Amino acid sequence: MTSSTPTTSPTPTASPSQDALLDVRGLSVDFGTPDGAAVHAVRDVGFTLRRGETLAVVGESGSGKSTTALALTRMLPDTGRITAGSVRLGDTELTGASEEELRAVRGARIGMIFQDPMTSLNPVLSIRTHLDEVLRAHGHGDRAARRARAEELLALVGIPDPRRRLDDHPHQFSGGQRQRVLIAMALANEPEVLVADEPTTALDATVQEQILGLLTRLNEETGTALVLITHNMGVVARTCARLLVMYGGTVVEDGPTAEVLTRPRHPYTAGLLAAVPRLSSPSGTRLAGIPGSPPDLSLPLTGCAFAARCASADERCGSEAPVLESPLLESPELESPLLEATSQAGHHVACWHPDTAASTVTSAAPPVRSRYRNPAELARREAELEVRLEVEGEPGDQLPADDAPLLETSALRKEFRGRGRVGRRNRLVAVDDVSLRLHQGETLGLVGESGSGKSTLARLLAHAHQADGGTIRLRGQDVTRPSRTALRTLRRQVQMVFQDPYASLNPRMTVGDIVGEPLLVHGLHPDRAAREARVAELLELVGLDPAAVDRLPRAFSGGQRQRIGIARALAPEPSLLICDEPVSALDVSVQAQIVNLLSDLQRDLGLALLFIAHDLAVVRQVSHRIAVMHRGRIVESGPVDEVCESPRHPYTQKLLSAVPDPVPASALGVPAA
Amino acid sequence: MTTLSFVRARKPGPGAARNPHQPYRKALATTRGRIGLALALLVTLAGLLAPLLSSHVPTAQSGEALLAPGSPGHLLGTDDLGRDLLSRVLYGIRTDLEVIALAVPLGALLGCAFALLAAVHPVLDTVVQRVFDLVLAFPGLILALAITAVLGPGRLPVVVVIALAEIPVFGRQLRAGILVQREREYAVAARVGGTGRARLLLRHILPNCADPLVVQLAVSLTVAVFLEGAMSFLGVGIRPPEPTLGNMLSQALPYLAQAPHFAAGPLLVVTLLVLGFSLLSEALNREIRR
Repeated sequence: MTSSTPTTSPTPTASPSQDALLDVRGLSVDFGTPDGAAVHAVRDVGFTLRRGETLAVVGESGSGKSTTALALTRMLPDTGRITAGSVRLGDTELTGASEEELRAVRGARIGMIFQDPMTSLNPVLSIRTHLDEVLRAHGHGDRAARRARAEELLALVGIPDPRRRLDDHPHQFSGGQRQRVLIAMALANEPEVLVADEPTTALDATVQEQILGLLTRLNEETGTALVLITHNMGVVARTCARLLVMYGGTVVEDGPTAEVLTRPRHPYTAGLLAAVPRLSSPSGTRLAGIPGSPPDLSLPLTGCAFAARCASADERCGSEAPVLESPLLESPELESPLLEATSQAGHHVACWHPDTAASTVTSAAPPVRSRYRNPAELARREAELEVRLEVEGEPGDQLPADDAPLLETSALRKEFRGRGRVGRRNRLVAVDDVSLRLHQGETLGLVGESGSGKSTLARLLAHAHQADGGTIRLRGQDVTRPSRTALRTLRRQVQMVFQDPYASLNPRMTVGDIVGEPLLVHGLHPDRAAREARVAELLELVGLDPAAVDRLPRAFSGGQRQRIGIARALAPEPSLLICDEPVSALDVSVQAQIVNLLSDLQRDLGLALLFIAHDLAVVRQVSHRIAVMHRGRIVESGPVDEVCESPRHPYTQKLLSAVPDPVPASALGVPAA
Repeated sequence: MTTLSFVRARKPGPGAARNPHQPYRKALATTRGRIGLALALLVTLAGLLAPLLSSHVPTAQSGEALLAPGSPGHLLGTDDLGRDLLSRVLYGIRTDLEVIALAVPLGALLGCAFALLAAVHPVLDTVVQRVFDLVLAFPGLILALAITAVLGPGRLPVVVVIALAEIPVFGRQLRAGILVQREREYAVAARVGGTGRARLLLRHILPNCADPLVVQLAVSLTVAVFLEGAMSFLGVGIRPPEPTLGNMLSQALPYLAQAPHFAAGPLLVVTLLVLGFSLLSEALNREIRR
């Protein structure tokens, strides 16, 4: 995978060895809130980065991973403050450094890349100006030398024809290319450390693959140490040699990637790994979510941050904070080979019961894959795996044998026209000639990258947009252009769950009003008491406390809000539920809860479910059939396991091979030590 | 920052979630908000309590002291006709407030009603927008002169002019809000859920557009104070002898050199009132934009 192999270095991290490049100890960061309270975003974080090492920092939103990265060079927003700890880069202490000293470090010794390549470049400046500015800031040569260097950098990050593209502006580059330009800027002054904060989160899977490949290659070629911050386990497995898992602002586990991913010692790491949907798992596999939601960081931390959600937590976990140490000391009863490997690898865990986690995970260990990058080989291997699984029996493939489809579309088309003459000429065909069939009690997964027209299709089916051509039939009736009365009855039958649980709930309405609204407008329970009873019932159905009816959406976490959205969609008892990226805004551990809830509801209520997502692994687990969408067209469709294992369309193959699997290649054949 | 590779984190700090109704209370708790509220309340209270606070009938003339400076009998002195200035200022505030309290909410309500009407259909929208353009095309005072020419002087034209001037301001403000809010996912969700057009507008979209309208209300109060003053000053508004802040200033102008105290009272009150409303609107605006 990568050049650096920390497993061969027996040096304990406690005493920084000579090659320690970045040494972070006891780092704590607080954010001030308008009320004057403090949010403890990062608490007592410590790690060491060696020269040329690749380190991944993994955690869910609110775990403090981005804040840690920003705190390294004191790039925190105005409300943030480092309250304790030290950050040493070589011999320089950064927490106490002056602004002048920090400027000499930022961009020169530590380069940074951020999440959104679309907004991180100034649209009015050419790429050459961007690169030139970084080089000039750190006094790099004269004009001609800087130009030559800029050209060299573009070539380094794999932008074709760099000489000509230097004078282009950001809008002339694609998202992936912009991220490459940002990487070039970060690398301009040959930094010793490159900090990449979610560099691929805003990118499509196929582009993500290229960027990760680039980062790995650059690490090998230039020897720049890489700190990769991500929430995606697959990205980690593909790119980094060492892994730091963060939860609630603290480091819970630290060790070699292969070691941590295959033998996690902290219950949180284990739970997180089990919650990640895998492309290799067949349709109908249940995800193992972590119950509960992340901790409230404004409260003082006593004990382990994960204690409230942990199955093996006891009194000590709630009162005394565990220290990050080698599990060797804590569990002498473990059998020796594992022990040996663990201690040698520099694997550290902050848990009072590291042995229980290990056992949890062995049971949840997934079928593994991903040594084979070649799609054909991959498909063959998966097929073999499938045969094995089929013998053991797998759920999910029993299709209801009902001939008449609930929903049928043929040659559906939607265009968006811009304003003015130019807009009329260059119209965007968002949905083009889409024909779908969906039966009662069936889940159809719709996969595609951003801009493929999935969301537009969902809104056409939910009659939020009017189709420009083609027909939509519901139970055999043409409902493409419904009359106002027909639309009212239609709205009862077709409901939708939206992507963004923060934007899709009216912030001014209480939960009871939000869920009760469809009942009210459809006149389903005209009696107030009956309506309230039904709302309570719906909230219970989606796993929320019915006592929550009087609260506003802001009082809930992302996952809970998505449950409210689902309750609202189920209120008028629809027969078709359209879920437009229902989990892509959620954290992995919460995503699993919502995915499972949706599959349960689909099964129990006999719903027809259209599940739209960009994440193939999630789609595979919930769907019976799958349709792959590319540039407004359905390029391939069929039973989900068949499509995933032997994709016929080249685009599907590309999509499948681009999905990173959280089990590292090195963990499969070679033993971790 | 000289290095471009560094971009400040745009992530809002933790705890960014807020109570939708708290900004108003918070705004009033800031220094700016407190001073604004205190000034506005002080002037309003003085106006409301005018019958209790004043020692003379505001229109009663006395031949003995013309343009007299402040004395125990007349705290602020008297004007050119020997009327007690304090009483006239207090009653002037009262008149002003009566006009403003009627005109601004009327303008705001009508403006919002037009904006909601415009949201129903694109054709209606175009019609309403062009009418707004028409009103906005006339400067306030030209509008005032035109309307007085039709209605004749008095309270009615002042109310009509202020309301008319405010209608497009509120209409535009709300229309912009509706256009933004109706594309938001919660609005689409409500539509897909079967919510009708009227309910969607009134129950979902309108409450989410309210914040900027509240700020606009405070701004409009300031404008209304000015507009009433300007109209009375020009003699096209409320007629003497009924006191208003504007016509008192107008009457004081010829005597500015001989009796500066004549203009001081109304000037001070107008300043305090405008300052109060401005501070209030600024405090609200800052809190809401957070």
